[in-house]
Formats: sequence, C-alpha cells, structure tokens
Amino acid sequence: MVKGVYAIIAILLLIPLVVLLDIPSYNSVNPTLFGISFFYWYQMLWMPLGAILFYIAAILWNREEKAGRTVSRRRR
Amino acid sequence: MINDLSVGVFVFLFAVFVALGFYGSRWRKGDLRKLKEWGMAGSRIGTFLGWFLLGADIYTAYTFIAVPSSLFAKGSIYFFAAPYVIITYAFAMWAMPKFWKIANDHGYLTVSDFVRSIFNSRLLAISVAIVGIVAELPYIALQIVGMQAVLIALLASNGVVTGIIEISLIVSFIILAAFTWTSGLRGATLGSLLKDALILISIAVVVLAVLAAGGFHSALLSAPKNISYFTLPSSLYNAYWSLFVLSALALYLYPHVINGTLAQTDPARVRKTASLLPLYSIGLGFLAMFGFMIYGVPAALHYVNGFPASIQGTQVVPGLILTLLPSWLSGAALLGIFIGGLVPAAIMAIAAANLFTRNIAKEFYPKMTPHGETRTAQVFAVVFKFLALGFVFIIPATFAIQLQLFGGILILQILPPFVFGMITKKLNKWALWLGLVVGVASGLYMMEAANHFAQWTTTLMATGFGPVFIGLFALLINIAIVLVGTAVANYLGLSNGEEGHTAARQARGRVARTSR
Repeated sequence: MVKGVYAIIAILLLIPLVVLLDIPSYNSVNPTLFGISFFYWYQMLWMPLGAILFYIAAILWNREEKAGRTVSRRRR
Repeated sequence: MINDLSVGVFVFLFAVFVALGFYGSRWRKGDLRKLKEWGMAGSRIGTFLGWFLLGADIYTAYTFIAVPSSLFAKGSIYFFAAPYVIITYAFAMWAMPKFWKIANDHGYLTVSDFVRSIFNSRLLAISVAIVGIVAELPYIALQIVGMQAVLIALLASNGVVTGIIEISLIVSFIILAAFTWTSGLRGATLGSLLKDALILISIAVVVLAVLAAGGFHSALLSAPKNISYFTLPSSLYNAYWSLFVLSALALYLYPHVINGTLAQTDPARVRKTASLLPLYSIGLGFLAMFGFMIYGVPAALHYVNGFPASIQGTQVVPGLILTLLPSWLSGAALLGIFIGGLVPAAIMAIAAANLFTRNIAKEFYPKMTPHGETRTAQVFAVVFKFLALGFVFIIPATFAIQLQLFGGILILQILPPFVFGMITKKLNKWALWLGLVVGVASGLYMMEAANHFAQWTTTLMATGFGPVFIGLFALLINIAIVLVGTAVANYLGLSNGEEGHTAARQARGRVARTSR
C-alpha cells in the first residue's frame, strides 16, 4: 500500500508540470508585469513556487526514508 | 562599454579563477590518484556547493548563448527552456537519490556500470557509454562557442586582429586542462562559485538597465513583427510542451549531470539540492528574455547588427552587457560568461573521460589498475576538450547550437536502460540494445528529413498536429521496441542470464566487508 505521505509528495511534484502543460491558460499578453507579457512572467513565477513545493516534498520524502531505514535496521 | 579597464578586470578575475581551480586539489583533500576522488571529488560535496556544482552543470553556454540567441531569432517558442528547468527537478528528485543509493551500494561510478551489471550486457553498457560521450561532445563545443562570443565582444570592438581570439581560446584551454588534470572535479566546483556570483550580479544590473532604458513593453513592440514574441502561436503548443517535457527528461541523463550528482555526499542532500535548483532558473528566465529585451536597446541592437547573421544571436547577451554596464562591470560580467562556458566544459570533459575509462577502455583492458584508471581519465579529459575545440574552429556557430540540440535527442535514448532499469530488471537486454540503436538511427533520420537533408536549423518535425520535437518520436520508437522485444523474448523463453544480480550482490558483499 502506498502511504499517504507519498501521495502528498507526488501531488507536490506534479503541480508545476500540470500547471505548465496547460499552455492556453497562460498564453496571453495581459495582465502584464513591468510591461512583460503574462506568458513570460507567469512561467517565471513558477520557478520560486516550484522551488517551495519541491522543497516541502524533499523534506517530507527525506524524513520518510530516514524513518524507513531506522525501522528496517531495528527489525534486523 | 568596453575599454582597457574591462579587459584588465577580465584578466584579473580570470587569474583569481585559475588560482581557485588549482587550490581545488587541496580542498577536502583526498587521494587524487583514485578516479572517485579526481573525477567525483570523493563524494564530499554538500548541499551548498552541490547547488553551485549542479548549477554549473546545468546553466552553461546553453543558457547564456544558445537560449537568448534562439529567442532573439525565432521568438517565444524558445522560452520552453523556462518550464523545462522547473519540471526537470521533479524528475531529478525521484531518479537521482535512487541512483545515488544504487551506485553507492554496488560501487558504480557511471550509468554504464549500472546497466552492465543489471542487464548482464557488455554490449549494452558500451553502447550507452558511446551515446553518452557522443552526446556530450557537441555540448562541450557549445561551451566553446559561448567563450568565443565573449572574446569577440571583448577584443573585436577594440580593433584587435581576429587571430588573437583563437590564440586566447587555446591558451585558456591549456590552463583549464592543467587545473583539471591536477584538481579534477574539485577545481571546477570551486570555480563555479566565482562564476555564479559574477553572473547573478550582471543579470540583475542588465535587467534594471533595460527597465531604465524604457522597459520591456517597448522592447516587445520594437521586435520584428513577422516572428511571435508577445505570446506563443497556438500552432506551436505541441512543439512547446514536447520540447520542455523531453528536455526535462534528457537533462539528468547527461553524463556530467549524473557525475555531479554522484559527487554529492548523500542521497538526502541530492534531493534537497535538486528541489532548490528552480530558484536558479530565474536567472535563466531573464537571460532568455534578453533575446527580446535587446530590441528595446538601440545601441545593443546596432552592435549586434554589425556582425554577420550567423553569429548575431550569440552576441545578444554580450551586446547588452557592453552597451548597458559600466566598463569595469562589463569586464566582470563577460568573464562570468566566459568561465560559465569553461567550468561546464571541464565538468563535461571529466564525465566523458570517466565514462570512456570505466566502460570502454576498461572493457578492453580489464587489468587496468585503479591509478591507471585515473591516469586514463586525466588524459582523455584533455583529449575530449581539444576535440571539441577543434570542432568549433571547423564548423559555424549556429550549427554547433543545433548539434547540441541533437545531442539531447541522442541522450534521451539511454532512458529505457537507465530509468526503466531502476524500476524493473525484467526487460530483455537485446530489446534494450535494439531500442537504443533504432532510437538513435531514427532520431538522426528524422533530423535529416525535418531539415530537408540540408544544414540543420530545427529539431522540430512537421506533423498533422503542428511541429513536434523529434526527441519525442525517437524515444517512443525506442520504448516500443524495448516492450515488444521483451515480450517476444519472454515468449521465446530467452533470459538475460543470471550473472548480473549475483555479481552485483557479490560486489556489495565485498564493499560491505572492506568497509568494516
């Protein structure tokens, strides 16, 4: 059985992919930011947002693996 | 502005960079006669330096020269590089810690080591190594094209004769070869710190200067009307997603990126480093936008238009730097881009040399000693660097960029043995080998066909759904052959033989015993 935390990790990792695959949703000039088309700045906005989501996923994942390792060591 | 001060700053910072490179041999000192110490910094690189090392692996002349150049010439489609350098890290967070653990458990130093033992096939391992090296060479050549562009910007506008540029390139490569020889990956990693500091400052200053000069909207308005810059034409949607998704899969298959990953201290850090790398992409995003920003800076545009059409694109970023920055800062920024080509070239040559030593040379001379391995890798790191340099002197710059994109199509073909291999051992080795060969051949054929058997200018193929990245088709053909071939082999009762897993288990036993 896949643990709940792995489902959360998968969702966190997939959000940027799904968002960026929906090209029509961001392929427009307006709203502009400092005169830059939405098309450009929206994708760049997902760089820091992606880093935040990925970082949370990395923390959860590493903690889960560390816990997994200690359990298997105890069983031995 | 470029004057003697810029050249002076450039030369001074280059000296600092070289000193850092040689100092690398003493940093977290190890026995540099061992391949793992020389070629992988003994896996002693933590989160902070790992971030810069992977940054140097990933943000290269591709970022500074190829992407802005393509956006400048062909419009918004080339902004695919932005989503690409976000989602690639999701893949990396899964695949790289997994591979780090496997490699550490079994003593693998390359992907080919892994493929050889898990599928019990020398042929497959050697083929994977050849594809890796062949894909890496044009990537090194692209770095040199970037360095050349910087030298042209720095020297040509001062009225220096052209021969000087070739000589400067050769001299910097000899220096690079010397410190890679002595310090290995350590030297390159320390150099990448300086490079990133210089580049991030320069990007910020250029962006502010463009804002001051009239802003991005006027730049977009002044761009040529026959090419789409404001948004993406809907006919290119399939081109856009296929380029960014497949490029994202390809990045972490390159030998230098794998090598940089294995150079880190532990899998948890590998994952954390990857998760934070999208922050680094912000710089790439701005550099890509330099491709249209230049239309808002008449002086820079005038400068770029002074060059022959074939190298105009490569002068976009240097052009903005030298028209918008004060002379001392433009010297520093140009050096940042220069070593932004030099450091990755060193890392790529090290990775290609590791692969050549472990998986080609050693297959034919199994008696090679550990020190012999390191010596072979040192020699071949030099050979690969100068091969790529020779390459650049022969072929035009635009062609080098296309070759690098073709390298992406090639490297994707090792995905089935490597990535599927981490999930299942049940694939047939002959099916994997045939998939690899046909994937490479079909990629080459589609590339030729899409360019009408003339000089390569595109990696997109026209389909009923608009243009699509050739890498997608080549990989799908490869995967189809692997799956069908495995099914046929299973039906015929053919197996990969037992050697792989048992050998790996024995090796693990040995490692465990010696480490105790």
